[in-house]
Amino acid sequence: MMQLQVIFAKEEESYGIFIMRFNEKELSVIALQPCALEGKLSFKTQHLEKHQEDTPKDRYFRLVGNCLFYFRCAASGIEKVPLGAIFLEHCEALQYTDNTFPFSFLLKFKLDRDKQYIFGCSSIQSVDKWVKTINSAGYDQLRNRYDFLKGHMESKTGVRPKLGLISETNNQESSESFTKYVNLIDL
Amino acid sequence: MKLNEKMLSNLATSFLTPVDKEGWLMKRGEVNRTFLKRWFVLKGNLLFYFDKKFDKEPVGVIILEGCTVELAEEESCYCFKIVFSGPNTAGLRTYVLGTETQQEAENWMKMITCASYDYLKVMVAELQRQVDELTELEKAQRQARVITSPTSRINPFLETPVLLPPKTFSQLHSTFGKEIVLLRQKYNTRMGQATSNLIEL
Repeated sequence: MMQLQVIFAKEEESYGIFIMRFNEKELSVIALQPCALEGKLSFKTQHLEKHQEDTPKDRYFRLVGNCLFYFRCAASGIEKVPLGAIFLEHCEALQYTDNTFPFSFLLKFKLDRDKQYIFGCSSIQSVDKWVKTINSAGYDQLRNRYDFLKGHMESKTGVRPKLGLISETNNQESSESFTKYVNLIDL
Repeated sequence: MKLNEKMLSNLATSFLTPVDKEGWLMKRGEVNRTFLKRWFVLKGNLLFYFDKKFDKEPVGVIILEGCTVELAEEESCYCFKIVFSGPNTAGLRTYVLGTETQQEAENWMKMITCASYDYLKVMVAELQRQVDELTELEKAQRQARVITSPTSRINPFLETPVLLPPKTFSQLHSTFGKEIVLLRQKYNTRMGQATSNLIEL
């Protein structure tokens, strides 16, 4: 078993494949949830270290939360299961001029300097919309906004805001039956 | 499905993102139902798990969206489960995780429940609503104060000192002047009496 594992690891290195497990099926469900923005875009992936880039493809994109899913376009719409997902954390989208697409933007990541994506849109307005939406999609950004608003409320009212959640039972004292949803969370 | 794995892997160990919670948890396998000890790191809505604490690359990640947290029925440890559900629940996984103490289980359950992007969005919207409400209230109060000041009425029951109209310089001069003339006359008569006793040489 050990030997097999070593061979597998070496193969991974040579192809640059990194296999990390993730809840793929569950993510497919998320991909079809209400999204901030969606539409058909062309895109290509650039591998900077190898000075390579993939051929541009047409895909249907959906931005759900902090994740940008893409689907293959089928005859009757889009496929049910996404082809891929790009997590948008510590990234930057900016307008870009290239020979590939007339209206395009670049997407780059602080935490992976090797990979870059170039998207092609149908209009400059579309580029603008996508750039703005992607740049405000990060989880940490949302969290910062939360912290700012919370601090603002505290300074104005002198009280830490308590935010309630849906709860099935008002069961705060009982430690035996922890409810499905937490009641009042003091954050 | 393709994922930008390299970025996620780097995110798991990066100092750019804060660690919301980390610790050892027993994770039950999907096929092999035994529990394996893994080092878990929660960052935002991503729950990474490593083979060892200081490993550079995580074994895997659980994306915490569209899931709920429940107590599990295991007897061997304080366990909880992350249940994924959707319109077509068939085939969606439930992750069973175990801790060593009741308190740890509760802490993890609390953190994971609040971890999703959706949840954070709801909280931000709620806070924004509260801030907007407060701003509206403040604005209304300020406007109310502006309206009442020009027609402010004097309370007749409050004792106020009677203020005389201010005097002009010439008025003051004549008032004090009269007093001085009187004093000089008095002085002169006093002096006159005094000198009248003296013999003119």
